Formats: sequence, structure tokens, C-alpha cells
Amino acid sequence: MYAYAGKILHVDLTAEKVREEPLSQERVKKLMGGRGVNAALLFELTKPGIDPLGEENILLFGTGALSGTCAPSSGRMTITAKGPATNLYLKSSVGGHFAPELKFAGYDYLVIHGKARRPVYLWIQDEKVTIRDASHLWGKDVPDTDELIQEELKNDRVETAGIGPAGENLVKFAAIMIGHNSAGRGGLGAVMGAKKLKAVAVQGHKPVEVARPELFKNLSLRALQTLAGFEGRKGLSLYGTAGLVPIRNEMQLFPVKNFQEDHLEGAYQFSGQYLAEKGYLKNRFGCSACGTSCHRFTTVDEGKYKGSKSGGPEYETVAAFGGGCKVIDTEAILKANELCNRYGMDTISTGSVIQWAMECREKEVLDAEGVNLTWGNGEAIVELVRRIAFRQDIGDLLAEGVKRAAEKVGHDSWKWAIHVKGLEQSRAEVRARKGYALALAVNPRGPDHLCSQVYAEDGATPEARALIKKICGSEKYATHVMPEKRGAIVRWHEDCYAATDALGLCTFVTLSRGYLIDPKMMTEFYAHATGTEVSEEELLEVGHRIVTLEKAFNVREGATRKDDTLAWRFMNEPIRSGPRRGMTTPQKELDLMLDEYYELHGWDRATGWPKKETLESLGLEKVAEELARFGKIPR
Amino acid sequence: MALSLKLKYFVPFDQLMGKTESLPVEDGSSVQDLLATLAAKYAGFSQASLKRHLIILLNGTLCTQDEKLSDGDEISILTPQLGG
Repeated sequence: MYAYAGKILHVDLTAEKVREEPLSQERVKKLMGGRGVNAALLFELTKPGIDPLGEENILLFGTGALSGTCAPSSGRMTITAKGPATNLYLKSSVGGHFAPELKFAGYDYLVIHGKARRPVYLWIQDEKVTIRDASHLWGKDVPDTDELIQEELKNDRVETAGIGPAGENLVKFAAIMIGHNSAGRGGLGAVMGAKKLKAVAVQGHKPVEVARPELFKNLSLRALQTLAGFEGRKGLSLYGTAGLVPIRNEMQLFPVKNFQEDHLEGAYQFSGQYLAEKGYLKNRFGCSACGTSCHRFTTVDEGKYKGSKSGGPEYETVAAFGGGCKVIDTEAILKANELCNRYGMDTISTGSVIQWAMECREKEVLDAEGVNLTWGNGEAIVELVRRIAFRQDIGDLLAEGVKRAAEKVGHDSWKWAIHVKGLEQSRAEVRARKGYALALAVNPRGPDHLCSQVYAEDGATPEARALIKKICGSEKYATHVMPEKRGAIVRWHEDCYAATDALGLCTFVTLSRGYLIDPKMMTEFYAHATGTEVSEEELLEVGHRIVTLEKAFNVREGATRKDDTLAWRFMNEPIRSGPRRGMTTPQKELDLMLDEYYELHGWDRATGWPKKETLESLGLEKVAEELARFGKIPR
Repeated sequence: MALSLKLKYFVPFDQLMGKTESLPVEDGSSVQDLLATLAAKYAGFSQASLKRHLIILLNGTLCTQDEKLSDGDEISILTPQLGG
């Protein structure tokens, strides 16, 4: 089986047993890899209603079909489980070098079952698998854990996926850290912590074989040349994702004070450009097979936070701590970023709960002993990151995420709890961007930008307008203020994102504004890698199958149309200033977009559930039978 | 009569052209005409950049390159910087 290692590794932590399962051609044909196969396994191997932090949940590490090859930016992996933040489907895509290493070690997928009696870590080396004691690692932060594992194994070439104190303390948004990369969203680190699994270490030496090596190499070079000519990639390489700050701020689409404002004087001081100019940026690095190197390494060399050093910060991090909390204090933001990475916490959710707490203080419904929750207080964000990771005082409340915290605090605090389904939202102003609003409302894991970021709807570039014409039939729909045709735009992007994740590609090279590696080129990569031809339509159908499987998981858990919604603020509080002043995305507008979206998916409008004929047409007959068993097939 | 415009440049153009400048252009000029003027003035602001991957804000709002300019307009020139 070209491009694949051909095996799934199952590890049962309760029984302390390991077994291998062949990766079937049928799965690969239907779902390609990564996110797709993970979604199928999660549906098949779990029962509805299980506790995400219980023994019955599973944790899946799935490599992309192209991971381990030289295809540009193809080293990504999807980690999947039932999510503790939402009690629904959760996937998180992560870069670094872990996915290729797992494949080189002989496995496309790793499935963790059960729960260890004591802390353990897993060591996988060239098809040899051992479960090792990790009692001495429990309580250690992520960099220390990585270092201690390397020392213990006498091997500094292992790749690790591990958790810090936040995962051990079951923070609902704890991350799994892979070096400086993070599978951040939704609390996968807590799932790992609940299983008492401190880390997975992996090393392999068997190269991935592709079916047509010469054609594959030439295609990779062609893709790299295309990427090299793209101005946006140059900016990404120079300044990282945080280079987006001045641009979003200039467009007045930069969320400030928990989405109460859209522009911040002084935001430049936490931009990627500023970090480079002032010497905070010390290094740039990339994931496996990446030609862009968007990752940063930054340090603070003077002052109160001297000695702070970490990967990042990313746009979402500086936007959450800087814009969201109105903190114009570069070094405090860098320290907060370092601590999140050290303790293993998602910076989006951490920044979100802190800004929610600051708004609660402003509205006099919450106070924190020993912490001044005033907007702009850099010391407060650093202190709260610590308290959340260790669940100290107010940190215990905030570690539950904004939805649960608002339920406890009461008053109107739920109105400024910016989440959907229980997951905190990434920094997107969705009152002014209708397609983006729909994309966040329907995202199966909750509202963020990595299941369908619909930049093309802006119509900002000729390429974006051409894509909108291809999807909608006319360029006139290339404007983000129009609700019409958003269903079609989101549907196309969702399918394409899912296929991107299944291949293990980075969305920065396939789906962000440039559309550099388009679906046609993706089919060429797949064909040269595996020897199996697929059409563009078939590739997107794989994407549709994956999205429908994920939806089916949520439906089986009890999700309905009412769960596809937006945070109250976006539907009820207008933008206060700037060119989009007065705009909201009200329920009526969202309903219009949802109707079109469900119709295009072949899902029932009233419930949002996939129809029997849709599931059957996608070859998901067993999923249809399972949903019927639970009375979840629309009449 | 010449139109006086305020131009703001963002990454990566700010490295080449500075962060802001005031520039006069002929009455009746469009955004496209302005970009041609900039290409003549700055060798690195290539023709390729004019055709692909460029975001133009006219007084804070997205516009196309066909848009006509008025005296006192503020134009921001950006690339589709990726983020996440």
C-alpha cells in the first residue's frame, strides 16, 4: 500500500496490552487518511453519552495520507476524541514532525483506549511498543518532560506528544503539545491527562514509499515554486501569523475587549513585525517538509519577564491576550504565551476566559482575590494563566471554560461568554462576515477558523473572486456582508478543508487566501503518492463524507439544529464603530444561511440531521443504521 | 488638477516603500492607475504584484482596482497575510 504504513496501533492502557490492525483499503478509499479515518474510528469505537474524561473515551492520532513524503507542508496529523469542552466531536490538527515519525515507525494511526492505573508514557520505536512508568514525570511542565524522556531513552531524536500540568489537572482546554506545536483546541490534553498518559514518544526509520517517485518529486517542486511567488507566504515567513495584527486592525476587523470593539491603537506593539524589529524574535522554523517556516521562537531578555522563552506567539495568541484583554504590554503577552505552552493550554481559550472575567469585573458580577481584573492589566493575564493551569482560586472556575463559568457566575454573564457548543471562539468578527458566521455556527467542534475559514467571500483578490464565481455562479456573491449563497461557500470550503486534513497538508498552502495548492493539485499528489487516481469531485466527496461523519457523531450525542448557533453578542449587539457600524448577524439571517447549508449537504432542515439517503449515497450505511437505532434519522 | 492621496503600506511592502506617504495622482485616476504609478516609482513593487494577491482598502473598506479615487482618499495596500 503506497504512501501508507498500512497499520493501526491500538494501545489499551487499562489492560496494558498492545495490538495491531491492518489499515483496510476500504477505509483509505473512502476517507483517505488523518481526520477522515479518525472520524470513522471514533464513531465506531465509542458509545453515545460517554464521559469525555472517562475510561470509555478513546484518543486517536492519525497521520495524513501524504505525511512523511516531500509534498510541501504535508507533515500534519489530526488528533481526535470526544471533547471535554463540548461533550461532542473534537479534532485538532497539529504540525511538527510527529506524524512522519509515527509513519516511519510503522503506523498510520495510534488509538489509545482505557485508562492507566498510574502515570505512564508510551514509547514507540520501529514497531516496538512499550508502556513505561511516568510517575517521575507527573507534575513536570512540557519542556522538562520532553527533556527527561530524551535523557531516559538516551535518544535526542525522538518526537514527543505530551501534556503539562493543565492536562493533568483536567483543564477543559488543556492542549497536547508536540514540541513548539500545539493540538490546542477543545481539551485533548485533558483527555490524555484523564487517561494518565503523560506523553507518547516515537521514532522510526522506515521511509514512506510513493507509487510514482519521479512524478511526485516534480510535482512537489512545482508546488514549491508556486508557493515561493506568493507575497502572503513571504509575510508569513518574515513575521509569522502575528504579522496579521496590523492588517486586521487596519481593516477594523480586530476584536478588542471581548469583541466589544474592533480596532486598537497600539496593537502594533504585539504584532509579528514589532517582535522582529525589537529583537524578541530569535528564530523561525517550520514543520516537516515546510518551505514557509511560519513558526517563531521568541525570548524576553530584560525586565520583569527576563528569561521567558517559547515557541510563538501566533496571531490568535496575541489577539486573545493583547486585543481581547486590551493589554498593550509585549512582554506580558510573551510571558502568558510561554506559560500556556509550558503548562500545555490552548491560548485561544485561555485568553477568552480571561477577557470574559475582565468583562465580568467591569459589569460588577465577578472579582478575583489578589488579581486586578482591569482591562489592559498585563500582570493579571500572566497570573491568571498560572492559576488556571493549577486550578487555584478563580483559576478553578475559569479552567472550566466560559460556558460553564458563566453558568456558575450567573447574572447576564452568559451574554458575553463568547462560545458555541461550549468551545471559546477564535478571533473572528462574525457580525460583518456572514459566511464566516455560518462556518463558525456549524463547525462540529465549535467556533473556530480551522474547519472552514472562508476568506474567499471577501472577494479581496482576483483568485478569491474566481473561486466564488466557480462555487456560486457569479462574482457578485464575493462580498462578506451578503447572507445569500453563504451555504454554498461554506459547504465547498468545509469539504476542501476536510480533504486537506485527510491528506495531512497545511491549510496555509491549500485553503487560505491564495488557494495555492488547489483541489486539482491535491488529486495529483494523491495519485502520484498512492497510485490511485481520483477526480476533483471524488476528492471533495471524501471531504463531504468526513464532514457528514463528524455531524453524525454529534447527532448521535443529541445535537440538533439549535446547536448550530452563534454567541449571543454577535446576534444582538451591533458593531459600535468603523465602516461596519450597526451590523449584527441576527437569528433570522443565520436561519436563512442554515437552511441553504443543510439543503446542500442533504441534511434535514428542521433538525440538522443527515438524511438516510445522504448517508447511503456516501457509503455510510452502517452510520445510517446506527443513527436509526437511536431514532436520529429524520422522518 | 491633481488628487492628493494618503497611502499606507503593510507587510511586505512597508520594507520597500516605508509605512506611509502622501502622493499626488491625476484627477480621474483609478486604483489601478495608482498601482501603475507605484510600480513605476518602486522597482520592487512588481507588475506581478499588481495582478495577484493584493488587498486594497479605500477609506477602510475593501475595494476593487477599478474604483475611482477622490481627493483626500486614504488607501491601504496589503497582502493576504495568513493567520491562525
